[in-house]
Amino acid sequence: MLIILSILFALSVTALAQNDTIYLQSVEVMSSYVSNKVSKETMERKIDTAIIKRLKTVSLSQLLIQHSPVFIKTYGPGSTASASFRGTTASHTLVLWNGIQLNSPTLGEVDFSTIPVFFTDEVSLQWGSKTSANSGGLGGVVNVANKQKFNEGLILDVRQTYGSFNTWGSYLTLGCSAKNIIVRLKAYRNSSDNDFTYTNIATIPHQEMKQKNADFVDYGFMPEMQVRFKNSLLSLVSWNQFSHRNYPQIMPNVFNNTKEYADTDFSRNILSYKYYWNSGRVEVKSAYFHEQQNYFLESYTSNGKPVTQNNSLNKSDVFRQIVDLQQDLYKTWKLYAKIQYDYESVESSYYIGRKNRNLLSFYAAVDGKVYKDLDLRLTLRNDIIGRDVTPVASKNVAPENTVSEKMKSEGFFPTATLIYKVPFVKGLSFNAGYSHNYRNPTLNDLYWNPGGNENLKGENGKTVDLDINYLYEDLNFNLDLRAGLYYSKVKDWIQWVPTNYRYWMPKNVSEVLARGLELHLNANYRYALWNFNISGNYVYSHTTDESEYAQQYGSDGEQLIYIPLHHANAFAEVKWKTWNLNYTFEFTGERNTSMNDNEFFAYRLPYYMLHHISLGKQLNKFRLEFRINNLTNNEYQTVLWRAMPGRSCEIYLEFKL
Amino acid sequence: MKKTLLDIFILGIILSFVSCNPDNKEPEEKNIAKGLFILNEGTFTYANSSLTFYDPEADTVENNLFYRVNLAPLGDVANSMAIDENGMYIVVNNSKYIYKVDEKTLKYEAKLDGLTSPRHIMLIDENKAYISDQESTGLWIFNPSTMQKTGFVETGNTTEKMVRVGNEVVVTNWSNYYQPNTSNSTIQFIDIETDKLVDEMTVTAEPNSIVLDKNNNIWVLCSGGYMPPCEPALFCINPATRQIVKRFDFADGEYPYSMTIDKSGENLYILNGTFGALDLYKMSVEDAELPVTPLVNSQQTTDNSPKVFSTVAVSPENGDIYLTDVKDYMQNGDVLRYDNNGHFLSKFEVGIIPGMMMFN
Repeated sequence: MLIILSILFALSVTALAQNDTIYLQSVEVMSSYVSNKVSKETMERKIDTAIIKRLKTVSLSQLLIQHSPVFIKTYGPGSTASASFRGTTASHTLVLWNGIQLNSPTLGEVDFSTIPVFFTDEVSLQWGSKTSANSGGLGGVVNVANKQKFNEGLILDVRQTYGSFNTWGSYLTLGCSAKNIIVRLKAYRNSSDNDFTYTNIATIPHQEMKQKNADFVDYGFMPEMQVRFKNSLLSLVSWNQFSHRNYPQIMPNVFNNTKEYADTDFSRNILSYKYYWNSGRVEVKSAYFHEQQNYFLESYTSNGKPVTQNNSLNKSDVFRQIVDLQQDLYKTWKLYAKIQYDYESVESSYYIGRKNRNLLSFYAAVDGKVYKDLDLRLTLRNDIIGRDVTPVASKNVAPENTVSEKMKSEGFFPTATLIYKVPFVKGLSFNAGYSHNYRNPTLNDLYWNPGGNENLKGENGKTVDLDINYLYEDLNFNLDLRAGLYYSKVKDWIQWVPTNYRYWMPKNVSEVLARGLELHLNANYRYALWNFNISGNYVYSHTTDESEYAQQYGSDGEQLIYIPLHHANAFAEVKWKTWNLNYTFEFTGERNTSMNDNEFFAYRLPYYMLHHISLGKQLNKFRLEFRINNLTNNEYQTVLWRAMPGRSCEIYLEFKL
Repeated sequence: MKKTLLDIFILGIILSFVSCNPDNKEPEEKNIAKGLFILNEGTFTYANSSLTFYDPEADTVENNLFYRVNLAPLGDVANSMAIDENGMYIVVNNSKYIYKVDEKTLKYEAKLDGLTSPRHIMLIDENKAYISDQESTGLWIFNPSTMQKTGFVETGNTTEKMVRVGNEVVVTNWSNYYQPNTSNSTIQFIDIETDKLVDEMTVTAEPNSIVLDKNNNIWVLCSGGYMPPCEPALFCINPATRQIVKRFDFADGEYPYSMTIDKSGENLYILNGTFGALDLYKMSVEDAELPVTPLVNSQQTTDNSPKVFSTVAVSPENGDIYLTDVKDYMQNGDVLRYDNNGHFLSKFEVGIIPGMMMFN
């Protein structure tokens, strides 16, 4: 009577039909190595590919804030945007590109404004035990992947956007997808004067002004190649990007004579070889990332001479090697195993000498049916870390005196997930999980001079979560409803705190409790030439520090800064023949900017709502779209005193072969 | 189902129109009594500096005064203030401006900007004042009645605290972080008639406080620097002869952080210890040695929780001592009030990182 979930999934895939062909032919190659058919639907959510296609010309930060439960804290267009997933902070959101970690070894986080949706074909979110193959994703994982099918012929896609504030975007995809080989090149350039008008509420009197020194230019190219052999697949992808971004001053400081910018360049390369046999596959991946950032801040003296306050250079080289195995065991049981070796090496103006870290990680997972409708998934990981240690005797020694520590085990990290498909309600399923993971201190935490603390431990997180999923499908109507509850406790949470010296130092002082609820809805209805789609997310995240340290200062129980208690988004689309009309809604609740209970404006940012609409039409191979962002011209702040644009317009033109 | 969703969207649209301006408060009217101003620096780049007033007679505290009166933030890192009969001047370091407000109503009057990294004000007369600067090498001259810059005194070093002695202003050279080839271990004498540098004396690194005593000697407290070898010391200097009258060296590892003097010019109040654990010491200007027992011990206060003292002020009325406790630098601090013998009287909550305190 009861059917196991893997079969359900297989059936549902068949039911959904279109996209997936047999495994070998769909180019799953570059996807996350822990592709697990049994639990694919659990603790994971793919962003609708139609939405990704529609938003190719924006950054991942905009895609996530509008279409996912991930909260994005943005300093404004063309400025840093960081993520908060399930009530945690940016450094607890692991970002994987084709299975390789993008989080910077120095900061531990990812600037989502530097990931153009254009360079991705698939975006998905994972949480709970789904994050277990890597350290770091205590909140969750954002996966971005490149996928291109074989046998599709010539690929040519040109997109051009022009919008308010002299914003230009040009996007080109050119390639060829033959029977056994794919060659594809993507290239883009995006720039803006970003000189929008806003009301500066920090001046006396408040005044309308133009944003200054906020212009930016980003460009990049991504060549890809895939070759298919009889039982194997070889692929190479290279993501190269350059940006120059001026940073505007905060509202009270707009009259400052200050120059501030960052130049960021990187080259991220992955070579992968995948070999298949009947009951499994093995994949070997090799990644090399080189990234560098120059941050510059300058003011001017009485006689106009520049005073360089900051001119720091940060270079990192990261090698990651992965061997990933998947093997059918017995009946429905499957085994996944991974061995990963990472080498991170950073040279920074703020470190004494070059700093290196090695990581060796062993991971294994099994899943299968335990009883009728009940599936079980167990994973276990062991990480071993070796890193540079400065001899204790003298902190200010020459770099050559830095000695490397022996490899040391960080411990064993297990997860367990139960998946239950309710037999008497079609489409209803539950899954409950326990996961234990940790996050390494960043190299800045360890080696920043002054303050870096080489004695830091990793943050240690334990999470339980429960998801309820309901999926309804018939010929003209689809409904996808999900609810997720989570409760995590992170011990040894790293916080920079004042010390008995004049600098601050990161310490494992906090004990953070994050608990919350995520709701998701997606409904699709077709009628004759009409197609209606509605989707939305609501997130409640309550995150507090319950440590003794917080108690000492009376900030225990206070919501952590910049994590809204409530946030939500919604999307509605109507299609008729070749026309489409879209509406997007964002809601961000109040956010603390300090740990005080106080009504002072600067201590708590008010909530805001944004509305965006767009109207598009397909004309043969052309597509034209007109978009209005922030339709109601709302004034709002996402980060304290950072001006945000009001209403803006954009024209989008696409030609696709 | 769809109708419900539509309703939610419509509700959303209505709400967002309603919520367009969350900040439509009325400015408050104030009439400041006699008492103590506390300037709270706030978090760097958060522009959450604030102004607090404490009325000792009524024992009342009012926080966020600048914002409540003017409906705009004070700015980013309010560093210092000065008051005369024409107004109150607040130096906002990282916003690089000076706000002039009415000293009674606290209403905004004027702004002076275009400074590099302004630190402190020395009011000379109603048409002239100096502003020290942590990044420019010298003192800005401005007219406090028009709030216009009128010149610049080039001294070759960045400038910090000032004291006036007759026709001269003595300024400390505290930082060479942004001007690496200049001195951070000198004091300089400026003639206020000619606005010229006339002399200079060497002390030890980072002179952070300078006061004038009843004998017309100046006292300079040096934290001794940041990187070893540190030389924390207190100097008593005769400004007329440019002679060091007395020098007191602190023990190795001590970090004297700030100093003030009472109204009579008799007793120095010094915060010394390690950076996050500074105790208050009282010392007579006639003493031959540094005090060994603190008047207020930051680690053994009445409520048994350690304090992170940062600045001290002494009431000109009754000699009460006020100490700021910055706590973890992230949340609102406290001001603790002691009598002149170091007995705890009361405390009150102020803004984030309370710094400079001043009686009006």
